[in-house]
Amino acid sequence: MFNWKRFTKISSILWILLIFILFSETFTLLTKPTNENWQHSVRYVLGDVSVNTLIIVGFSTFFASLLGIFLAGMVTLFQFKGRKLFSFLFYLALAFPPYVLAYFWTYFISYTGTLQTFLRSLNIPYQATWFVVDPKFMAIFVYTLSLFPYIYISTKAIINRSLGNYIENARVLGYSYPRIFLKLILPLSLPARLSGGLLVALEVLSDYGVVSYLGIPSFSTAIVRSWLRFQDFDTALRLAALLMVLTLVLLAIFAFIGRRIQNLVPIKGKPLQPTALKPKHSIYLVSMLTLFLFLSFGIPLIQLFYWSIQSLASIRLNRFISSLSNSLGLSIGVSLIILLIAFVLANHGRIQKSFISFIAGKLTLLGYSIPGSVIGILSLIFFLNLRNIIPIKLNQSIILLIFALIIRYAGLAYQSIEQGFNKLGLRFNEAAQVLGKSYFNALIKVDLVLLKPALYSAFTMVFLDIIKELPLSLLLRPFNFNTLPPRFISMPMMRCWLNPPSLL
Amino acid sequence: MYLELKQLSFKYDQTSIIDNFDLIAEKGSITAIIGESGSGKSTLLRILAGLQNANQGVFILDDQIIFDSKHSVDTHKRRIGLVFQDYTLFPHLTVYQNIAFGMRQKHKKDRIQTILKMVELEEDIKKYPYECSGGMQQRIALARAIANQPKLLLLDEPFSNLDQDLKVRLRTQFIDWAKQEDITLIWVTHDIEEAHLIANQVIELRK
Repeated sequence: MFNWKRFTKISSILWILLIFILFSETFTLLTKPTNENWQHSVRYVLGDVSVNTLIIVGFSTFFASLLGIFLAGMVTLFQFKGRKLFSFLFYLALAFPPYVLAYFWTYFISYTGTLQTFLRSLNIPYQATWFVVDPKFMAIFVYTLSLFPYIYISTKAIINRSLGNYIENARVLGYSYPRIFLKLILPLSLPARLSGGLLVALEVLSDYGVVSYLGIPSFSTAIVRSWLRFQDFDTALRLAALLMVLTLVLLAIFAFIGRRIQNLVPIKGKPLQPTALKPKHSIYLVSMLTLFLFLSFGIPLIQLFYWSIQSLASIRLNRFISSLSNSLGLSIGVSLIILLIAFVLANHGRIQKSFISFIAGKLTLLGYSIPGSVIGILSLIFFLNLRNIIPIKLNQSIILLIFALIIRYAGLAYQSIEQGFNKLGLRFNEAAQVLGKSYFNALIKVDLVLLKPALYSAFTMVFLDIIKELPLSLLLRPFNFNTLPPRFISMPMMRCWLNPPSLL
Repeated sequence: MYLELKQLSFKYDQTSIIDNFDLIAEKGSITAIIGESGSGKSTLLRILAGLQNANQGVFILDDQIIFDSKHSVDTHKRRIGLVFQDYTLFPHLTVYQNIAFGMRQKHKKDRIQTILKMVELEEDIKKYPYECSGGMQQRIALARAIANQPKLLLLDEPFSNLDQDLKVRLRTQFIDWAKQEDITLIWVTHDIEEAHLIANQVIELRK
């Protein structure tokens, strides 16, 4: 008879073995002798690559944090016209792939771009050098604009749900809002900002599109260049191993800080009642937020629409539709598989808190933390080794890409579903059990229904990430299989290639 | 004897919560369990319901071994009901669906109608738990627990969230329903007066 608990345990063990075998390749490599390309990389490339990566990750996280908390504060502390609309629109920045924004802004401020063309058309004197921006600054700017929602979302949630009574107390004690922001909201939202900040740092670390387009030497570009251009798999793998070590160090730092500040999390908070602003202040705030949205979101969107209409006639529709359907099919299919795997793993952790469930959870989250280029290489090695056991060329099929996407994004779905289970607890399932339903029956009839918000959220996040994912698609797609992101990045002059999520 | 519990022991993290606990009860009787916080009252109910496993002990109910050192009947097969302190009504199901949830027998509709009449919820069958008052939610939880005619019904401080008047009224009503249905009750309460008022036997758990 089917035993669900045993099934989840076996699945967790198999998952642990799979991830362990996958990542162990990194360490067996270190025992092998190095080649000339690697020695050259260490001497001339590694320094720049490391410094650039650290600068971009550090500053992007810092500025995204500032922007996210400022916007979260505005929409939670104050009641004004359009508050709910603004609150929703700030989420949409996540739909813009960073590389799309990088392309747009680089074009927008270039000599032949919209801004300078507009200034010249009005005979406004200016210096072209005013618009020459260091690629690293541009990268930080783009990452800040596209990734601030991670911090915005987590900070908004904690202010709304838990800081109400603290803020009210402060107001009664005579604190102004700027003081409340500095003395209360900033420190008490630190745990939330930390978790959002970690997501930003990991996204920047694993991104390839922006740094590649802007010509910034970073770990991601070095890995892809070694692999695709120099066909030097060994160097690519060593760089990937270094990047993985850097990621683990980052995770350890965030975990260390998280443990030190865990007591800052308000235990018994109260939802916040926003304060109604005076009409004059309301107008200032709405104007400022509208201007921000227009600059960061509106202008790119309008430009993208304009380009798509302009170049409709020159689009090879069949290739566009083919790439689009590949993107959608892959994203939906893989998202559903990931949802199922994450559900089984999270459920095992829920019903059997053991060493196995702990390790399975941590390894799943590790997959999300490791950059896509690293996962790509490790997956390829895994499949090449697998050919020694199963003589089928899986490494040249779509299965390799699907496998790598699952390893990469299972952690994202797992986190959401695990949080859903934690919020739900076991009480409804237990209530169903004492009414005569088996655990599995209760899981399907009760827990699954109540878990719907977490499942929808997990599916949406994974879907959006996969559909705009670039490194894995670029490295692992089989011959003649194209999705939209690799198409886009390979054709910077063809402005007609639009990324559906950025429009939808 | 209808219910026999022998030498029940339970430890949590090497700390003994329940130590060699014995209990016997006749069919249709009410046993009250009292004790201070942390004495193991709720843990005892969870063990009897099968939501936690004892370290040691034998539990026999209606001539069936529910658990002993060698085997244990799954929770959903024990026919032991449990009314939780916070009711734990399914938020996505209506009053009717909540009460009908565990029922599989024939003439289910007739049985539910009887129960609804008994708990005075006939007019509210389409409401959801969030639309019901505390007293109504309590009645739904009790109705759901007795609908399937359990062999034993466990109650974990069932009326602690209600005001005094409502508590007394519901308690009296419920005991009448339980007697009508001939259900054996184990009732955890921190109210010593209530325990002596309603129960055939009162057992005190100490830390």
